[in-house]
Amino acid sequence: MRKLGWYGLAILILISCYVLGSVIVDNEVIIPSLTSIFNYIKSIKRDTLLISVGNTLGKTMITYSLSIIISLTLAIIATKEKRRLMIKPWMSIMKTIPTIAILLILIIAIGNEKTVYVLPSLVIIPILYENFLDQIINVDKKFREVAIVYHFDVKKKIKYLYYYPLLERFMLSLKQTFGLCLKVIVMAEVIAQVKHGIGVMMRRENLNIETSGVFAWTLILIIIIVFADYLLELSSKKLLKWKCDDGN
Amino acid sequence: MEIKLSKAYGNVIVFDDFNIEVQDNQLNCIIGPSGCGKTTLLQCIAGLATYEGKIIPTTNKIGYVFQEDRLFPYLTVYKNLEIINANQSIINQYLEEFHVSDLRDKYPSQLSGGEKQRIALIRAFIAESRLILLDEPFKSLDYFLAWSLCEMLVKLYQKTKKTMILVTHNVEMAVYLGQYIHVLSNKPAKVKKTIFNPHAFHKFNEESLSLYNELLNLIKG
Repeated sequence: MRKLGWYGLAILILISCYVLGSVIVDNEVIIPSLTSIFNYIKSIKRDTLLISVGNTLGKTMITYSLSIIISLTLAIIATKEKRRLMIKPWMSIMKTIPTIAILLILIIAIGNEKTVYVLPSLVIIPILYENFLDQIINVDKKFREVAIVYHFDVKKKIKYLYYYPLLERFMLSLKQTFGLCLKVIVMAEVIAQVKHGIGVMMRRENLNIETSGVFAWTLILIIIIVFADYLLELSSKKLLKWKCDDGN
Repeated sequence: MEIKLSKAYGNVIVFDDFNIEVQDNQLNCIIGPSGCGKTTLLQCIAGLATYEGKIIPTTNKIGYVFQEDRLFPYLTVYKNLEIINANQSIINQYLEEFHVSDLRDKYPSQLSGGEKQRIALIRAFIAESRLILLDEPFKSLDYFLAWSLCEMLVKLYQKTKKTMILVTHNVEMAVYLGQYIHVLSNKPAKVKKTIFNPHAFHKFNEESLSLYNELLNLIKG
């Protein structure tokens, strides 16, 4: 409860700073007032909101799911050192090339629509891959010894040495990368000029010099990410019961 | 049970033609100076370390109590036991007999150090094995807790009569628990002396005290 109070206070300070900024600048094009942002949100048609948010979230789900499958597969392949070394340069390239450069190359190479799906994968696969690989190759030696002593079969080894620690690491990675994935998709939508999505609406409002619209869609994006974080927190508590002190 | 082995880590020879006769269905205590290879010996028996030599009879079914509890943190107490022996009635029986039934649905992070080690002891004993290895299992516990777990260990032994090899550096504990006490020398370890202790599991008396002194001198010498 006390934590919630501090969190609420921090949000209040943030909003106050914004309001103060908009009053000082006094220019709706640079920093629109809260009223105009909320008025814009109210004016968004339900269908437009659902199509834009649904499209962006759908893309995020598809991209994220594919990224998990690819990074987990690569991590399993990379458990042997030689294979790991074969994969390493690819991951280094993905990590080091600026996102915007990859985006521009992808638009030319595979077209606008596909870019929105591929770009976020290229950003989050290295992060997920490294997390998964680290967990797989660094299985606690102590538990490995327990498995040897008590003759765990392959199924038991996978379940008790790998599955649970991987699940724990995965939930942590999910918290770190889900928001990032969503943000990269919106960025790709803005630049790749696809048909639907939050990014598309932001670009449209930007072209119309409707800053309150850009801020409104940004606010919607923030609300989605905060809500997703909350859901992830709930799922973590449910799935990782052993991490909760009281076990509930 | 006869163990004959040689073992080296690089240039460091831990065992060179080491030979020890472990008494079946007895609680065997192995005591010796720090770093003489007591833990390595248990690891060789358990198949956790390679060695040259032989262990007769070979047994791959053992229970092992490590220095730390090594309970899987993501499993409840009951699940931790169930993955070793799926027989529910055996698990329940042990949990009830050792007054830890109330811990069955708790996770290791919710247990105290003593409770964790109690469960680790039960885990080793419910394994379908005739041999139990214990590697200084009470090392990290405070004095009184360690002794209450010693009592539990005696009860477990009396219930199962499994062959037990307990490694310890605590002479007092060795005198109380060891029916046979094997004193090891420094590296490369040899068995200096094996002592039969008729006073095991009994309160300390004059004989225990003289055994205690004898063991101290053997370890120092």
